Amino acid sequence: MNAFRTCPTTGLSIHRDADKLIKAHAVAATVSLLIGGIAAFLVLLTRWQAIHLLDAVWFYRILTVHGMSMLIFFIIFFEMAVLLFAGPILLNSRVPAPKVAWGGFGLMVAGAVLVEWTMWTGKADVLFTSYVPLKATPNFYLGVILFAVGALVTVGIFFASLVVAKREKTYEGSVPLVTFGAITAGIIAVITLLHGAAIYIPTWLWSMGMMNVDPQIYRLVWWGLGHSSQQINVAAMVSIWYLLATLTVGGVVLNQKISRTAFVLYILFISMASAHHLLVDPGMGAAWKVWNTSYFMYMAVLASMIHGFTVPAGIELGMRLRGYSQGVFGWLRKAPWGDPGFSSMIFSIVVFGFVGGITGVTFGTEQINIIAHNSLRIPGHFHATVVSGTAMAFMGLTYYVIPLIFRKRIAFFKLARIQPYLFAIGMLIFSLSMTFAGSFGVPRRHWDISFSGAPFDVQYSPAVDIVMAVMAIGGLMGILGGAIYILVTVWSVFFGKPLPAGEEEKYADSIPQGLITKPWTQIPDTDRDPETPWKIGPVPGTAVLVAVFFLAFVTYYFANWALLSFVWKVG
Amino acid sequence: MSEPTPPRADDSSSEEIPWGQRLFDRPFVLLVLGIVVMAVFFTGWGLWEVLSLPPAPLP
Repeated sequence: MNAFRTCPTTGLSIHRDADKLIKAHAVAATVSLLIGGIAAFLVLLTRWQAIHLLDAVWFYRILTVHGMSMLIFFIIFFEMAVLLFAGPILLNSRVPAPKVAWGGFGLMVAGAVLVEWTMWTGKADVLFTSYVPLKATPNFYLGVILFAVGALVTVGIFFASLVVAKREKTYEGSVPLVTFGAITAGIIAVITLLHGAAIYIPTWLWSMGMMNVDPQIYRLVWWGLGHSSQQINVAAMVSIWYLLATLTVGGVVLNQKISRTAFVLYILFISMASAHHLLVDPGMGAAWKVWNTSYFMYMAVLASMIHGFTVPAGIELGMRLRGYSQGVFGWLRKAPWGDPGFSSMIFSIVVFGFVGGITGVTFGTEQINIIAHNSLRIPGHFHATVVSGTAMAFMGLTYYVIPLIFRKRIAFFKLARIQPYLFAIGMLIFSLSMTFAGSFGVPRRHWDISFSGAPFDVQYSPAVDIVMAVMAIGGLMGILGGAIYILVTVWSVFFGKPLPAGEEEKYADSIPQGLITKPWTQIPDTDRDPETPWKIGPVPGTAVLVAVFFLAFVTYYFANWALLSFVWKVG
Repeated sequence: MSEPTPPRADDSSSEEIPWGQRLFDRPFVLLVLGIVVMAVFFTGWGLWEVLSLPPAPLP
């Protein structure tokens, strides 16, 4: 059998080992998502005080399951699939050492299974952060180490595939922008996993009584893993935005230099943002805090601002150059909103930017962090970034992966079309409600905010009950959206009807429209005047959206300084 | 059966490539830079901060 197959839709040369590895990682990601989703349902119905489903022990247990399954296993399995796509496949190259790659996958699965086992059997009620001196069974830490080593092996295979592709001249010039974004994700993954090894190995030994681990050192090094792992998500998500923009509407890259420089800013500076988790730690000096969260983090924020402009601008310009140039937002009205890849991408960009990004940068200010730390504002922020941002982008990509890699039609396609809307709206309501509740002082990671049975009385504003109920409704909508995604993808992959080569148009009712119109093959005439009104440049729609974004940012940021002034009297 | 070779691309043109692009085309240089910056400013400096804290014995 030929080691390569040619994709009948894109014309790419696909190494069969890359094909199989992507499928394996994608399936493992979906299984992890299912476990994390079940845990989400149980946690949600407990934090909704009116239901209060789980007792305290099971609440913290399932919260641990939710954090590990979603933030580590689901996301990193999916990211390995993204690396294997952006490396060997986009570069028309091969997976070097496939057996090693399968070994890495095997280690990841073994580690994940071991960790899940220890959590569900009650031997690791330590939450995602597993802060020392909270002690889990040694197998918990061993499982994480095995998973991390497996991921590091897979990242190594990705880097090796770049070397092989360059040596065998399977592409010319620089790597495509999507591959460059994946390189960024891979580099941040190495930084993440090195910190993971540096802290989990000593902690594993500490759990067996073989050495001491200082809690403050643990917090410092662990967050070098903890937040950096989420920055792998950011880089992967942005790469997927560029990819989906091309696949869905033929989006263009405004300027390769600018977009790549933004990715390099991520490589150099984004990991330092981890310091914002230690802003209220008294042992860390102000200089270290300000240098890492202000000077360095803001360079990464600049990078996000750049991508936040270039991605929608690329979509707008690509559409205008193909004739969709009525008014300021004609291109957006005429966009394929029924394509679940497109709608997922847009919701991912908007919610990540407006809710996740704005809240995150605000919390990264040392003074403001004091009124946000450990409140429900924190999960409100990261559900907007990781769930509505990264997971949403991954879901959108899956609707293209199923026909392109698995060569299957999408089952229940009408459900698939509404899934991004349900998921995005649900998670938006959920995130905003958490942010409001946290502003009223509701803590995160807390089983019972009524403090029943406690020797002291805590009264929250009566609005909190309403806000928590709205949070639960939004969360249930989001969970339903996630459940639909799992149903559609699992059914399509295992029971779905095949998509024969060259017959995309015949099955237009069960595959995304981008695979039929193939907008990336219609090269726009970049010398053509895109016929924009208002003479404010070639992308006036994006300019308006960016202006609205900046207004929201400034308003939210200064509102927080106002809130701080109510509690922190100076002079 | 011998391993089929993947498709090959034509040689690139002789036009001079800007130094910035040549830097961005070297992923391992970027990898080292990323690790070094993080190791120095976050991890290294942070560890120094913690390890140089005076002990706070209980009264």
